[in-house]
Amino acid sequence: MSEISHDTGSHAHDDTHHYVNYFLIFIALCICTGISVLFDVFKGGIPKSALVFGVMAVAVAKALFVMTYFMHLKFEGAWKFIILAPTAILAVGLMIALAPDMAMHYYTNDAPQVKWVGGEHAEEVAETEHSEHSEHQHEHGGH
Amino acid sequence: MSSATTTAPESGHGHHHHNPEDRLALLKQIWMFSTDHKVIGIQFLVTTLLMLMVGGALALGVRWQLAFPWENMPFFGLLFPTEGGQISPEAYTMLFTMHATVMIFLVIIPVLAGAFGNFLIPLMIGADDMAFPILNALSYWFMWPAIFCFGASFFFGGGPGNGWTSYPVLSAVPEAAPGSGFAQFFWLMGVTLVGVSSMMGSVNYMTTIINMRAPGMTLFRMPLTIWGMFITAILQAFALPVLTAAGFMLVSDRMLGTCFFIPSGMVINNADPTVGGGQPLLWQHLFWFYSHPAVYIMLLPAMGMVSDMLACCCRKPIFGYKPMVYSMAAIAGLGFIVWGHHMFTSGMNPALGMTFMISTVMIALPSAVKVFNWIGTIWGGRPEFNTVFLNCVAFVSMFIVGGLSGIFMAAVPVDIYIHDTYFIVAHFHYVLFGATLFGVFGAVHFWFPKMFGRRMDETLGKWHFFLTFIGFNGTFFPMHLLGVAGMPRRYADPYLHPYLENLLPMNQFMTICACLMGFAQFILLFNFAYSLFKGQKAGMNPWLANGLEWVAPSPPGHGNFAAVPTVYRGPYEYSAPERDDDHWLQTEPPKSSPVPEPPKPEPTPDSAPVGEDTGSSS
Amino acid sequence: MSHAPAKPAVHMGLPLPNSKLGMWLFLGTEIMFFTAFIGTYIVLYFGSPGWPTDNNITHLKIWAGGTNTFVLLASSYFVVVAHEAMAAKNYKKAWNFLALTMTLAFLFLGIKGIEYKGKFDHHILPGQIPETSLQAIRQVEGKLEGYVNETTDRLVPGDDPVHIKLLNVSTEAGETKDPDKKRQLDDLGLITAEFNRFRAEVSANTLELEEAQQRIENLHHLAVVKLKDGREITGAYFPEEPPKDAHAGHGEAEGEAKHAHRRETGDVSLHRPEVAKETRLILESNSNTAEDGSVQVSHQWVVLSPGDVEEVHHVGEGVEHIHIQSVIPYGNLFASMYFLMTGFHAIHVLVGMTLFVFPLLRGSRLDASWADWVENSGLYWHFVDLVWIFLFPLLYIVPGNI
Repeated sequence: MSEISHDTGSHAHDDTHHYVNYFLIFIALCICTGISVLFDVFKGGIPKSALVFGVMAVAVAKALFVMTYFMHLKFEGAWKFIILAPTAILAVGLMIALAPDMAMHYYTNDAPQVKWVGGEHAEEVAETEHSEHSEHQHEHGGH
Repeated sequence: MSSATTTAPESGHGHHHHNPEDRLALLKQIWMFSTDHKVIGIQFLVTTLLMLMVGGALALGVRWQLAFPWENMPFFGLLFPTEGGQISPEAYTMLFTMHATVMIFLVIIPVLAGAFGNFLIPLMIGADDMAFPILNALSYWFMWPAIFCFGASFFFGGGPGNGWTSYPVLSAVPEAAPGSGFAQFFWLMGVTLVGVSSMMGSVNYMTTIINMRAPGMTLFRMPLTIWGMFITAILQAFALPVLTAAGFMLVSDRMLGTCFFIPSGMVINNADPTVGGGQPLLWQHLFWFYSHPAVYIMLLPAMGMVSDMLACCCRKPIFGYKPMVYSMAAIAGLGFIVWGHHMFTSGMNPALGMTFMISTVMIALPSAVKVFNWIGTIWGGRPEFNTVFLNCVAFVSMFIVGGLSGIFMAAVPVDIYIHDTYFIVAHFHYVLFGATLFGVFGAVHFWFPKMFGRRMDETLGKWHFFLTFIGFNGTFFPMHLLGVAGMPRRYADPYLHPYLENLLPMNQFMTICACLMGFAQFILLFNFAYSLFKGQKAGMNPWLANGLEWVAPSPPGHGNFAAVPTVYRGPYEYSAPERDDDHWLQTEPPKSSPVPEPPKPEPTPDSAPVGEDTGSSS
Repeated sequence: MSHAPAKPAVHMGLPLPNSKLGMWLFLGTEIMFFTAFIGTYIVLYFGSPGWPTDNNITHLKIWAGGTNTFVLLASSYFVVVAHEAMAAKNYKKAWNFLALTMTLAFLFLGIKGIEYKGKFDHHILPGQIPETSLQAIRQVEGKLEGYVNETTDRLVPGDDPVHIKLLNVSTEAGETKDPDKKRQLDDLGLITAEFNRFRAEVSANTLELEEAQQRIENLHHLAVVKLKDGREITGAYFPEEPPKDAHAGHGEAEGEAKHAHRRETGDVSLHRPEVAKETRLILESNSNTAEDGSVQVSHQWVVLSPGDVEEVHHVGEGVEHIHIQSVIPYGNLFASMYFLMTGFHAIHVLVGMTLFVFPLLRGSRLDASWADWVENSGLYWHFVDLVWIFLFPLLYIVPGNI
C-alpha cells in the first residue's frame, strides 16, 4: 500500500488551512451524546415517537458534525455530492424498497410454533404461545 | 530507456517484441507477482479463458443429462461415480449450480472488468498504470483463493446444490439438502473472495479513470469502452457490498446459529423446528440488489468495447456518442431499481411487483437507444467482414433477441407463466453468451495485437465464429420453445412428467449443438496459443484505429507511453471529410491551430499512420 | 524510475490525491455494506411480531454504549488533531495524538468486550436462546444428554457407540478396581436415571417449564447422603431451608418469570415442606414397576436434623453448569442482529487500529510522507465513528419505542 502515500505531491493539492475549532466540535458532539442518553433516562415522560425522532435527529446531527468538520467535507469541492448523494439515495432506497416486503407483511409469514414430539406428529401450540407474547406485539403498535 | 526522450513515440520499450527472446517477456510475467496493469490484464484473460472451458464442460454435463437422461455420463460420471457412470440428481444440481457460478463469477465478470478493464483503461486514457498497482495485483491474486474455494466445494458432500442464487432456507440450514453441507460454505467463501477482488478492482478503476487521464482527455473524449468500464465500476462498488453483507449473514446463519434468513418453526429433514424469526425473502432482495446490477456489470463493458470495435471496423464515427454514454448511465441507474423482477413469483408484495415491472420495462428504452446507435454506426459503413466485425454484429443481433425476450418476462402476468422455465434460460444465455461473450471474442481478436504484438489468425477466427454462432443458436433458440412448452429449469429429469416427454428429441438436438459450440472453443484456444508464436506481426496500429492505446508500442512496455500523450479529439473521428486519411488519432494535433504542447508525441501530423510507421521500423 | 514517463503537465481529474479519492470511494462502498446490515435490522425489527426490549433480559447496558460513543468521539477528535499536527509539521504532537487514538480504540474494544462477556455469561447468543418454554426444556434435555453421553464415553472404555456403552455403565462400575472411577460411574448411573425420567416426561409432554426448572435444580442437588444410623438416602439434598422462590432465584430465570405460567400442581416434588431453619431436606424418589410394566415414581420428603447426617456425597456437581435458560421470545433475532452489527463494527475498529499502527511504528521518524496516510486512515476512522453514532441509538434506545 506504499503507493497510497507515494503520489502525494504529484499535483497541486490545495492545502490552504481552514481554521476549525475542533475542540468546540468535540464538545458539541459530547453534548449530543448526553442528550441521547437523557432521552433514554426520561423515556417515561416523552411520547415514544417523539423519543425516537429526537434520538435519531441527534444522531443525524452528530453525523453531520463529524462529516462536515472532522472529515473536512465543508472544505471539499462539489465532488463530495457526486460521491455521497447517489450513495445516500441508494442506501435509503434499499431500505424503503425492502419495507413493503419485510416490514409490512403483505402475506402473513408467521409460521406457527410447532411442538415436535418424538418425530411422530406435530401439534400446534401457536395459540398459547402467541397469547403469551401479545403484550410484546402491542408494544410495537401492532402489524 | 535511453531513447525515451526521442521525439518518436517508439521508445526504449519498443524493441521488446523484435527480439525473439524478449517477445514473450510479457507472457513470462504472468507467473510472477507483477503490478503492471497489462500483465494483470493478461493474467485475468488467460485465467478466465481457462475457466470458460471448465464452465463449458459443466454445461455439457447438464446437457448430457437432459438429452440422455440417466445414461452413463462421460467424464463427470467418472468424477462422481454414484451408480456406474450415472450421476445422481444431487450431482446434476451441483453441475448447473457450478456452471452458473464459474461462468458468472470466474468468467464473465473478471474477463470484462478484470482482463479488458485492466489492460485497456490505462492505455486508453493515456496513463502509465493504474492508480493503485499493488491493489490491482491483489485483485487478481484474490481470484485464486476464490477458485480454490469453488473447486473445493465440488468435493464436499456432493457440491453446492442450491443453484447460483443460493436461496435460503435450503442454503441456510445445513441439513436441508445433500449439497448444502460444507460445500455451501466453501461456495459462499468463494463468492465473498470474488467480491473482495471485484471491490478492489472497482475502486481502483474509478480512481484511475477520474484522476489519471492524459491531458486533453476530457470525459466526453473518452472511448465508450472506458465509459462502460467506469459505469461498471460504479455499479460494482455500490451494489457488491450488499451481497457481501448478505453473504456474511448467510454464512453466520449456517455456522454461528443466527437466524436472519431462517423463519421460526420450520421442520426440515425431521430435525427440530428451527428457532429464529428471520425472513428468507430478505436474502432474495439483498442478493438481487447486487446480482441484477451484476447483469449489467456483465454487459456494459462489452457494450463499450463493441462500440469501439464497430466504429473502427465500419470506418465511421460512432452514431450518437453522447446518447450512448447517457443510455449506459441510464441502464446503470435503472439497473439499481429493477431487481425485484427476479422475484415476481416469490410471494413478494404486489405493490413492489408493479413498481419493478414498470422500472424493468423502462430499461428497454436506453437499451433500444444503444441498439439503434450500433445499427446506425454500421449503416452506410464500409465494413470489412473480419472476425472482429462478425463477432460485433453477432453481439448486436443476439442482444436484440435476448433483450426482446426480456420484455416478455418484465411483465408480471407473463412472467408468472414462464418464470423458472427454459424461456428464462434462453433469455439470459442470449444476453450473457450471445451478447457479452461474442463481444469478448471480438475484443480478444481486436486487442490481441496490442497485447502480444501479433495478430490472431483470421481463418481460424472465422471458423471459431461461425461454429460458435451456429452452435449457440442451435442450443439456445429452442430453449424459448421449451420454456413456452412449460419445461421447468433445474429438473434433473423433466421427462418424468408426461407432458414433457415429447421434448426429448429437441433436447437431444440442442445437446448436439452445444457440443459443436464447445468444440469450437478449442479453435479459439488453439488460435490464441498459435498466434502467440506464429501470428502475423502487427505494428503499432494494425486496425488503423484512433484510440490512445494505438500510439503505444505493441506490446507496450512498462509505463505504456514514451511520453505523456496529449489528446485533441474524441476517439471516433473516422473518415473525417476534411482529411484524406480515414482515421485521425486522438493524439494528432490539429493542423490549423497547433498547440505548443511540450510532450507532443508526433512531429509530423500529415504523414501516413504514425503508429504503423514507427512501430515496425525500429 | 527512469522508464516512467513524466507526470502530465495538466491534471485532468479532481484536485485530490489518488489515495484520498480512492479512500472516499471505498467509504462509499462501506456505506452500502453497513446499509445492508442496518436495513436488515430495521426491516426484521418491524417484520418481527415482537422484540425483547427489557434491558434486564437482553443485558444491553446503555452506560456501556454511551461511554463507547464518547470514547469513539474523543478518538475521532484526536485523529483530527493529529492530522492538523501533521499538516503543521509538528510530528511529535501528531504521534502523541495518534497514540491517544490508539489507546481509546483499545478502551472501546475493552468496553465492548465487557458487554460481550455479559451476553456470553447469560447465553444471550444467536441460536441458543429458547423462545418458548418447550424449547427451553428441549434445550436443557439436549445439554443433559450431551453430558451423559460425553461422560459415558469418557468413563467406559472401548470403541462401542455411546448407546451401547450406556448399557454397560453399571457393569463397569461393578468391575472396576479403582474406587474413584467406581464412584464416578455410580454418579453417572444416578444422573442417567434421573435424566431418563426427565426425558420420558418431556417426550410425554407432561412437563411444564416451572416443574422442569425444579427438576433441574433437584438434579443439581442430587446427592447420596449417608446417615449416622447407617442408612443411605439418594435424592435432592437441601442442606438449608431454601428461599421461598428457590426456582426463580437463578439469574437465568429472572426474565422468564414474567412469561411463564405459574401453575399449581399436585406434584409433591415442587413444594418443599415448611420446615424450621437448619434442617436438612432430602427429596427421595422411588421407582416402582407396576404390574402392567409401567414405571411409577413416587417422591417423598425426608426431613433430617443436621446431626443425623454423617456424610454427603454430591452427585449433581457435574451438571451444575446446566441450567434452563431464560425464555426470550424473539431473542434469537435480537442476538443475531446485535452481534452482527456490533461485530462488524468491531472488525472495522480493528482495521482502523491496524492502519494507525504503521505511522505509530515510525516513532520519531514520522515525517511529511505520512501526511496522506494519516489523513486517509483518519477518514476511515471517522467513518467507523459515524457507524457507531447510528448503531448506538438504533440498538440501545430505539427498540421498544416504535
